[in-house]
Amino acid sequence: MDTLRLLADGFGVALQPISLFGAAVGVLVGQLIGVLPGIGPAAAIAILLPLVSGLDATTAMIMFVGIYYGAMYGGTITSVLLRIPGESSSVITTIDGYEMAVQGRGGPALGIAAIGSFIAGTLGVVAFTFLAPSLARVALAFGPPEYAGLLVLSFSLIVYLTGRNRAKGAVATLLGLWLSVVGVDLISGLPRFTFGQMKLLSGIEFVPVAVGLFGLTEILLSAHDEKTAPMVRADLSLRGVLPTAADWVASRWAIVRGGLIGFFVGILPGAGATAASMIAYAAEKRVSRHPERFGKGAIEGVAAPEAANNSAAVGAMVPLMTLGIPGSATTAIMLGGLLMLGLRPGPLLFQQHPQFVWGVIASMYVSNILLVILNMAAIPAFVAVLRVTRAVLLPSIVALAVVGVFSLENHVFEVWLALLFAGIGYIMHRLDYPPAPLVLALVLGNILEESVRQSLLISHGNLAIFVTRPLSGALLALTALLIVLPLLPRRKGAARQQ
Amino acid sequence: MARAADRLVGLLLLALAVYTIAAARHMGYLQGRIPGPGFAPFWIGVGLAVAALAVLAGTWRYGKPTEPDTPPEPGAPTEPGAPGRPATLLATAAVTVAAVALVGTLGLLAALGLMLLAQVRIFGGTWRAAVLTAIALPLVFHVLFALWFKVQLPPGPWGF
Repeated sequence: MDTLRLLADGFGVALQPISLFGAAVGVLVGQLIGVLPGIGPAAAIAILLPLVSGLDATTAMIMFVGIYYGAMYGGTITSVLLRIPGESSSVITTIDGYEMAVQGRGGPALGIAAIGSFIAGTLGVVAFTFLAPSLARVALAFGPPEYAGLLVLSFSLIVYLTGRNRAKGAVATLLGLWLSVVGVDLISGLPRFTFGQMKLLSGIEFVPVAVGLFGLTEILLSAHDEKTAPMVRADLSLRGVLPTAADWVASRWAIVRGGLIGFFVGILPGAGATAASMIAYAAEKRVSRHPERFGKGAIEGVAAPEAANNSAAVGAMVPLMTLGIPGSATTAIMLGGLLMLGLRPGPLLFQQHPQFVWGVIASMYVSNILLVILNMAAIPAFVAVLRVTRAVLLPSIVALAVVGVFSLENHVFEVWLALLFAGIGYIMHRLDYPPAPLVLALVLGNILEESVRQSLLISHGNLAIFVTRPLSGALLALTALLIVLPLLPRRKGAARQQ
Repeated sequence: MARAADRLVGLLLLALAVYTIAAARHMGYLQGRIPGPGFAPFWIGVGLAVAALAVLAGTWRYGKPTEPDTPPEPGAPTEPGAPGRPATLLATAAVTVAAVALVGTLGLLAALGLMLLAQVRIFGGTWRAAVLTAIALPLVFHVLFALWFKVQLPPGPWGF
């Protein structure tokens, strides 16, 4: 009952004009970003961070969540009509979505994606509403050793699940941690890795790194790899996108299953919406009575992954809001943005800033409704955006990134930093180093160092504190398992080969 | 080519790791019985060295730059070394760097205007689109940042 009362208070915040404005702008920007292949929600939020620095944290977060959701919806349009995923989470939708479009059923494919996303997204928010406060209450018992254990586990999970080469994932994480220690050490006052630069004494700012690594790198990649394809014609009127009764019967359980898979996969750090959509597709094919239809325009093959990627976006908010630990690049940038706005997500947030937490949760319900309306009624408008020339769009994003980063400190140093990280991000992409662990470690590195130091202060320098406390011991044991497990099958395989 | 790049980056990372460990020892590993300012950098350096060695080992072990631990996702982004448009990429990067270098001389908005003009052309836009974008967008930025957010954008010799 308490949860429902708090949620009602949250709706009081979410339905205020400024919050509705934030949600509307967020979902619209997210949708546009999703429609444009190459630019993801992480890049969009990174570029918009300087613009929201003047807003209050609640409106800013409502906008970020709207962008995240909107991008999940928007990525479908290009997957279905162009066979180019607007988002990596819509990659799997290209298989059956494009086939449907070729068969003249592009409208229902987009319609079921929108409806499925709405249902799964709403189910995800309901689960979030009731799960998050309980998790936050558990997390309140966390002391510094538990936080240190949780952070180490999160880093290991993100290395384990992100990217294809774990050694490179580990390098990216450690580079992020390295960057996080740059600046004056707050306990001893000693400058670390500042190389005599005054601007580095306060540490490396998160926003220029995020803008460079995500926003500008994606522009450089778009400059290098132009993606073009002919668009399939489809009836995109409201009537044309409404699925038939048969479509609905075929998709309803796929939506529910996809939504559940998406939410729980989304909670895992590093797994994200892309993995969720792929697992949901595979699961749907497995339970289907006609798996041979998959790949040939099965509407369940669109409904399940689209439901999953949307509820995964909600699931990803659970560790961010309850533990203060982001599980993906997008939520890491959200965390950086919230820290910039003076809020530190985590269990105390539920106690100290209930208006913020419940306002954001309630806004998720609102954003879902806004998105389904936008998607059913305004798909032609978003398709029109695809015709806006890249030649104008990409340079405009570069210019916005430059002026936005400059406005942070009114100094060109931050712009150079963003350009440096754009170059680093490009090299990382080309050599298959995942950028998400770097940004996650940069955001959380200071908290990890602080937790380790506080823990050792409590134990008078005894490292056993991390393993003798049950929860931190369990978290570190899980981390050790994650590191050791991938090595075991290889040895077995090698023995077999011998 | 990609293998050479992988090895070069691996060696650079190893050098950074060694430097980090050396610098951390100077900072002070412990202060009394609690971690000093060099504690975290020391372990980051050690971890980085191990990870860099693993990357380097991967380039020799398999005879390929890096053997993925997991198969690529369908529709995954361009593979390293895939053909693309390097000229567009280099021109985009060069123009952006030049524009930022010119901020002090021309002012932010004028430098961005020139950058937009060049980049719209680089991406294949018409002269009309390039000129319109180069004029309109800096104007929007002026209204948004200078007038609305009260950010002091560096002016050029002409006062804006």
